Amino acid sequence: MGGNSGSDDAKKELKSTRDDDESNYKGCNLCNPFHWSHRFMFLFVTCFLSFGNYFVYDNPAALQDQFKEDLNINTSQFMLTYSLYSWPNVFLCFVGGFLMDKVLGLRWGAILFAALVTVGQCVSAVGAQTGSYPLVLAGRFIFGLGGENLAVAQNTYAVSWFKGKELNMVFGLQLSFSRVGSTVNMNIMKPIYDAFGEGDHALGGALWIGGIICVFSLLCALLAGWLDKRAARILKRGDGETGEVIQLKDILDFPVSFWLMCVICVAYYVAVFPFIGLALTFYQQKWGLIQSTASTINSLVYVISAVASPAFGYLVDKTGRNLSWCILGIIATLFSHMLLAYTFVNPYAGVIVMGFAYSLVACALWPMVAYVLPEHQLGTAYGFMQALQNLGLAVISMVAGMIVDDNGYLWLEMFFCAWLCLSLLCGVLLFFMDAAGSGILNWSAEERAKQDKEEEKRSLLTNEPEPTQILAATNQQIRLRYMSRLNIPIPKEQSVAIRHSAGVGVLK
Amino acid sequence: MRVCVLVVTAVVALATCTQATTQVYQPCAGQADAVLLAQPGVPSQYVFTWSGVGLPTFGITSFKQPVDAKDFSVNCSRLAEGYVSDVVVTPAGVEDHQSTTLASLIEFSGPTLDKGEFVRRTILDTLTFKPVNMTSSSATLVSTDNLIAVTMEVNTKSGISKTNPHNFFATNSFSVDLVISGYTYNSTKSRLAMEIVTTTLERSVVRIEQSRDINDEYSPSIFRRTTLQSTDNTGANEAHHAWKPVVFGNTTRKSTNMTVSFIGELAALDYSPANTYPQHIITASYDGARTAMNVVNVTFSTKGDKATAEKIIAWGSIVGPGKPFVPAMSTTLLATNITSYGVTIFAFIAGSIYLLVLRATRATHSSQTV
Repeated sequence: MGGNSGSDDAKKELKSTRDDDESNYKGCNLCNPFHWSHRFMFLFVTCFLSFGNYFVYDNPAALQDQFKEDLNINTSQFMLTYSLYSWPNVFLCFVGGFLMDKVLGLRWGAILFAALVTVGQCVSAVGAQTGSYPLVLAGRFIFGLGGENLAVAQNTYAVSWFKGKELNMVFGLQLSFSRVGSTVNMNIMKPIYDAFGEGDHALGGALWIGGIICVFSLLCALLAGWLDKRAARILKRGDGETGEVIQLKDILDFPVSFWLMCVICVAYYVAVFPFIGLALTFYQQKWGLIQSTASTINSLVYVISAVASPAFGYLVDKTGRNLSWCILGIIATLFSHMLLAYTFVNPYAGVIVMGFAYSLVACALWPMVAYVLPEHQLGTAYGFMQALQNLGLAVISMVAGMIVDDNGYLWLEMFFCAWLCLSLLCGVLLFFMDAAGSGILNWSAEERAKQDKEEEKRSLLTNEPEPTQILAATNQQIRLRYMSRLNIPIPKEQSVAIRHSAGVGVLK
Repeated sequence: MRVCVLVVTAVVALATCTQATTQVYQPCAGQADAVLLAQPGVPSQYVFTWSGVGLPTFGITSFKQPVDAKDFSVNCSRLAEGYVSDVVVTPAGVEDHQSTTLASLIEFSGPTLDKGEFVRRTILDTLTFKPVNMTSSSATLVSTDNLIAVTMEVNTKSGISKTNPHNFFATNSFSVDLVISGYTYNSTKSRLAMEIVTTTLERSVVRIEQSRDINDEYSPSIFRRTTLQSTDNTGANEAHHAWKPVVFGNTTRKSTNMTVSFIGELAALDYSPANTYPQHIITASYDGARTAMNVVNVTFSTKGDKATAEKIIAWGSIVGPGKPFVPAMSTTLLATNITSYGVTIFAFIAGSIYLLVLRATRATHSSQTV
C-alpha cells in the first residue's frame, strides 16, 4: 500500500510536469504531440506503413497466369515466390524484436524493414522485366526479410502512441488498411498488367507499380520515425520497445496444450494462404470465370476479414469459450473447401464462408496461448508459434504447387482438407484434454472475469507489487502486441493495465 | 519467335470448274455464315462455319446434284441446340454429304525437339475468320489478322482419297490445308501441332455436348469437356470425339498426362515422311458405323521455311465408340478422402463418448462424496 501512495505521488508529479510542458508548447495542434490531432495524424502515417507490404505480398496470386506464362515456369516454381517469403521468417520471428529493441531501435528498425520490402519488390520487378526467374525469387526473399518485422514495428508504434480503448480502434484501423492493400492488389494488378501490354515488360511494369507503393510506405516509415523522435523530445519520453523476451530454454516447459495449439495453427493456415495463392486459376477453369471476376472472389477472404475480425474479436471477448469458437471456425473452413472441391456451387459461397471462418479462428486461437503460459514465456511462445507457422507455409506452398502440376486441383483441395482434418483433430483433442482438466481454454467471459478478480484479490492479500511497478508494462505490451495482430479488442481489465503502462511510456 | 509459313498439304481431285458464283448468305443471324457456290453441271458445294454452338467448326455440305440456294434452308434452332449435322435442310430427293471439321492449334516448347512440354491449345475461332478465295472446289477461311488460313477442298471423286485424312464411309473426302503466316508465340524452340477432326455424317446426328467434372486429377486444371457425339436415328451413341481445353500456360503437361483413353483401339500411326509436309494420322473405323470420326494430328516445327517431322504426338483428345469414357477418382484419392473425414468423425464420436463418461463419473463421484 505504501508503494501505492509512492507511485501515485510520482504520477501526480509527472502529470504536473506534463501539463507545464503542454502549456508551454507553441505551435498548431497538428504539430503538437500533446494534441489528439497530432496523434491521429501519426496514426494515419503508420497505417500506410504496411500497406505496401500487404499489397505486394499477393502480387503473384493476382497475376498467376501471367507469372507462369511470362517467366515460363510451372505451378510449383510459381509457389516458390510465396515459400521464399516465409523461409526467412522462420528465424526472424525470434530475432526481430531483439533487433528492434537492442540493436536498431524502433525507428531505424521500421525504416530498415520498410527499405527491405521496397528493395525486394524492386529486385523482383527487375527480374520480371528481364525475364529472370531467379532474380524474382531473390526479390521475394529480400521482401520476406522485411515484411513480418515491419508489422511488429507498426504494432509497437501503436502501443507507444495510443492507450486504453483507443488501442482497439488503432489496431482495427491498421488491420483494415492492411487488408485493403491486399484487396486492392487482387483487383487492380491485372488491369495494370493489361495496360502495359503483354510479355515480360508488362509483368515488370506491374511489379514496378507495387514497388512505387512500397516506396510510399518507406516514406511513411521515415516520416513516422521523424515524428516519433520529435514527440519523444517534446514529450520527454523514452523510445517504444517491442518488449519481446525470447528464452529458448522455456520451450522445454511448454505444456502439451501449447503444442497442440501449434499444430492447429500450422495445419490451419497452410490450408488458407497457399490456397489463396493458387485459387485464381482454379476459379477461372472450374467455373469458367473471367480473370477479373476470379480476382474479386479471391480478394473476398481479405475484405471479409477486415470487417469480421474486429466483430469476431468483440464476440470472442464478450462470450469467451475460445476453443469452441476455434473449432467452429476450423469446421467452417473445412466445409468451404469441401464446397469448392466437390460441387459446382457458386464459388462466392465457399469463399465468403472461408473469410468469416478465417477471421473467427484468428480471433480465437492466438489468445489461447496466453491462457496456458505465464506472461514471461509469451514472447518465446508466440515467436515459436509464428516460426512454425512460417515453416509450414514455406514447405506446404511448394508442395501445393507440385500437386497442381501433377495431379490437379481436386487433389490440391483434398490435400488442404486433410490438413484441416488434422487441425480439427488436434482441436478436438485439445477440447477433451481441457475438459478433463481446468477447462480454462473454454471458460466463458464471466468465468474468466471471476477468475481474474480472485487472482487480483490473492495478489493484494499476499502484498505482491502492482503490475505497473515491475515489468508489467512490458508484459502487457507483449500480450497486446500479439493480440493486436488479430485486432482483438482489449478486455476491459487489460485496458486499465494498458492505461498504466502506456501512461508510463508517454510520461517518462 | 516468328514462325515461317507452314503448309500442310492436301491433294484432291479438282472438279471441272467453269464459272463460279459466290454468295455470302446468313441464314441464322449472328450464328452462321454460309458461302454458296453454284456451278452448272457439278454438285454444288457449300461451306458453313458455325458460331452459335459454343465451338467453332467448319462444315462442308455437298450435294450430288445441283441445287439452288432457294431450295434448301438452314435449321437455326438445331444450330442453337448444338447440332452440327442435319442443320442444312436439303430438298427432298437430294442426296447430300455433310462434314464437320474442327481445328485447333496445339503448342509445345522444350529444350530439345525430343521432349515437348505442352503449352497451350488454341481453338481456331471461326468468329475471327472470314471466307475468301472461294472456288468451285475449295474454300478458304482467313483469320481477320491474316495470320492463319484454313483451306478446305472437297474431293468429288468417288472412292477413298489417296491422301489423308481418310474417310472410310464417304464417297467424298476432305483435305485441309493450313497456312500459318507470321504466327507469333512466346516459347523458344516451340512446335505446333494441328488437330483436325472430320466427321462424315450419313444418316447420323452429330451434336456438340459440353459437360463439367469435378475430377481433374487426370487432366490437371481442366474441368470442362467438349464432346462431338454422334448418334444414329434411334438415338444410340455411335462414336465420339472428346477433349478438354487446356489452360494457357497453366501447367507443364506431359503427354501421358493428357486425357487419353481407348488408345489401344486406335489404329497404328501412319507416318508419311515422303512429302515436304509430314503427317501423322490417327484414324478409327467402326464396323457397321455410318459415321467416321477422323482425328489428324499434324506436328511441325519451325526451322526456316520447312516443316520437320516430329516424334511427339499431341494427344489432346480422345476418339472412340459410344460415349466418352469419364475416369473415376483414383483409389488413392478415394482412400485419402475416406481416411481424412472418417478419422475426424471417429475422433468426434469417440471424444464425445469419453466426455460423457467422464462427466457421468464425476457426477457419480460428487454424489458419493456428498
